Amino acid sequence: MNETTAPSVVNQNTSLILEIPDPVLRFKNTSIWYGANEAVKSVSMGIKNHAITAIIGPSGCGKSTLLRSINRMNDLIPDCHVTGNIYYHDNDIYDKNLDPVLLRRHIGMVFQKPNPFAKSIYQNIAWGAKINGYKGNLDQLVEESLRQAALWDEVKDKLHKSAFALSGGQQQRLCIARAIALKPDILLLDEPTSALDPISTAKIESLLEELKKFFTIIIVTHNMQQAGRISDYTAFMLTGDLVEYNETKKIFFNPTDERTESYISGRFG
Amino acid sequence: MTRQHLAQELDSIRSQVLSMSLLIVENLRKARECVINSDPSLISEIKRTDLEIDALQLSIEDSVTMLIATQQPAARDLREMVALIKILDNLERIGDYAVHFAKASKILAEDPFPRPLDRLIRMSQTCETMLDEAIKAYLNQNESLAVASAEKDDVIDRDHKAFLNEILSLMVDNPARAGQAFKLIQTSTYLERLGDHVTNITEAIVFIITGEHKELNA
Amino acid sequence: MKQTNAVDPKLCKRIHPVNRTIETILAATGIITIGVTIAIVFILGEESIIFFKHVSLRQFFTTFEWQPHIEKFGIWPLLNATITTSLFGMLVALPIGFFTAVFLAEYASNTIKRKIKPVLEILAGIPTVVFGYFALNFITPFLQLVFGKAVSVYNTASAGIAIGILLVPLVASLIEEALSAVPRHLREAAYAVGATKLEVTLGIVVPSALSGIIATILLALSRAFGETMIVAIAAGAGPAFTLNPFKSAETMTGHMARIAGGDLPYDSIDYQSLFAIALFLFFITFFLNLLGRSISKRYMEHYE
Ligand SMILES: Nc1ncnc2c1ncn2[C@@H]1O[C@H](COP(=O)(O)OP(=O)(O)O)[C@@H](O)[C@H]1O
Ligand SMILES: [Mg+2]
Repeated sequence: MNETTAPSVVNQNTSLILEIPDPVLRFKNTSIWYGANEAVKSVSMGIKNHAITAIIGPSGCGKSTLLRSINRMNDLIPDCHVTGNIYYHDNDIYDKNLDPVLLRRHIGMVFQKPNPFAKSIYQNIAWGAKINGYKGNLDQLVEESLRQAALWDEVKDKLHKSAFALSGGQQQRLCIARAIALKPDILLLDEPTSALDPISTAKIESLLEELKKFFTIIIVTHNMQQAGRISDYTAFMLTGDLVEYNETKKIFFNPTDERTESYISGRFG
Repeated sequence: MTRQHLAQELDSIRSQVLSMSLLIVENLRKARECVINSDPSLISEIKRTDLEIDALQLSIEDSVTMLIATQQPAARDLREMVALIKILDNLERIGDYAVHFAKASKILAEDPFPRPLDRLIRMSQTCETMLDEAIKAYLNQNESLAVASAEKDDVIDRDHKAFLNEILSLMVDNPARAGQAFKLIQTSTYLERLGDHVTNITEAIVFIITGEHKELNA
Repeated sequence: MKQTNAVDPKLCKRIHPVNRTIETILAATGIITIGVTIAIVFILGEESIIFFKHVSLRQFFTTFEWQPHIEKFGIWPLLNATITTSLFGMLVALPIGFFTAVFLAEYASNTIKRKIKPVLEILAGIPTVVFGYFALNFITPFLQLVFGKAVSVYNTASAGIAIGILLVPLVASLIEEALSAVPRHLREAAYAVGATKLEVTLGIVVPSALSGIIATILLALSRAFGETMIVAIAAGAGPAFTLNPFKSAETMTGHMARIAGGDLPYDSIDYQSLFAIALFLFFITFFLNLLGRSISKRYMEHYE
């Protein structure tokens, strides 16, 4: 390991947590609490720009909680609070002067269940742009976003039909299109394919591989094979702890921690 | 296009396999030059390249293993990755035999051999052609080319036998040369083995393409 | 299904006497409900048919005078009063109910919710007769204070406003339910594209709850149409066709309550006219309910 540069991420166990030089996002002793329950325990890690970072771990280990802290979605949960810091570039996301509404324009999110608005396909994308004061050509933005989400050809003839008429996989790609229409920096995805069939899943996976050229992607998945297939970096969490964080190849080929090993090899428990 | 990552990685692995085999072919060619000229001066260069070949084997093998670990290959992809491990193993052995072949030039340099070594030379040429064809068969997923490559092993075997007979008769005539003759027999055996390893590779290629284990040169 | 000779006893159909009994009781209650409805329609229809033998549908629907003693049976004065009171009711109930609902569903903290909800429940529990006297003794004087002598002691505006107050708890709680039923993931989706709370509420939550809101409006409307006690007390006695809401006018229900309270001979035309009005009212509310239902159904799958 490189000992000469000062570590940007402070962690007791440097061999388990990979250091990311010049990260776009950085957790520093981030703990997340639901009331008195510490769902995420002092996580420190950096996120690489223009790469796909996967967060894996058994159900309930705090993956979603960690992800939702990044765009301050946890603010919506009354007794949830964060200690430690999360830096987006040099901004502390939880600084009291930071507006979460503006933050979310830079950090988009796609959810587990496809959740298009009760609007037309077109409006699903245009609405976000409009409320964000988009001044350009909306038609163009809609087309561009749908193309980027590999959905344009399937929906171009029914843009003004309800988004609910689409299949689950199409709805999820619409949600991705909706998120990327805002041209965010970071795209957060919380188990985006867990409600989808294998073909739709494969489509979304290849879409994400395309999109990493434009965005930094963080994906939570309880499907570790998916993490293996598409991610460049993998973080393994267990009961709120970040156990190991490294290049996906390393995690899947030769993990350092025994717990990672047994989880990756499906021998958990 | 789905599974781009898998496709890209496989492409990159294939091109690495190609570079590895090109290095081997190059070594074989250099080794032949050494033998023809009874000049061992290229041996150190050949050995250096062989180290490179060995390193390549390991790194490609790791890439394949990582691909298996992360991509859950199935069907043809899976066969290719499993077969690749075998192919790499055989390629590595072929590389070693090329080095051994080159070492024959040392014996010849110490004491020039009184008879022409045409058969031995030709064997090495056939080996080279076989390997070249096998790799082309792999890259193009061409079964008939793989089979054609494997068939040339017969030519090698015939040359090997004929060469042995030549050497044996020489030894009978000239027992003082027994030591040198023995080394040359060994060299010929290396080339014969080399052909067998190429045959193994072609079998692995046929396995990738058809999913069947076929004995290509019994 | 065909009878086969040998079913393994482990798989053989069983007889559940308890289940059977309960199923029968359930079916019976369902049939009773339907039976009662049919009976009501039947009785209304029977008397109405006799009425319409004497009075043409044309007269009923196109004339503007309702004077049973001189055999004038034009529904418009009554219908107009009903529409006026209902309209005032809606003007009061919808905005107040809607904003209360939005506040409760989207903005109020749990502690505030816990304080407001019981107040609404108390309001909903007040007998309508109290609202009637509230209209007469409070709203009307207040209207007179503001608008002067133009406001009669009995008037449709005052009754309508009282109906509106009566309906606020209903409208508020139904709309609140509709808003709360909008799944959290839709709100989250809106927040995730950088929407403010107001944008989420008005741009996403309310449109998503539209079916429930429309159904609520229609339900409130049919309740306003059918409200009797308030109008009987505060709107005035005596049919009058007037577009002035400060004048006294009798609604359909008010008229029925007053006339039925008197001593009418059973087979008089006056008596039968009540059934005709009732049947008409029944159709109106029935139609509103149907409309409400079909609208909710149309938007129903929109959450998923
Ligand atoms: N809204 C919430 N209120 C209270 N506890 C919660 C809430 N959401 C999650 N938790 C708790 O936090 C822990 C982590 O949950 P979560 O982040 O959803 O896990 P994961 O996404 O890895 O399955 C769990 O123990 C869960 O019970
Ligand atoms: Mg989760």
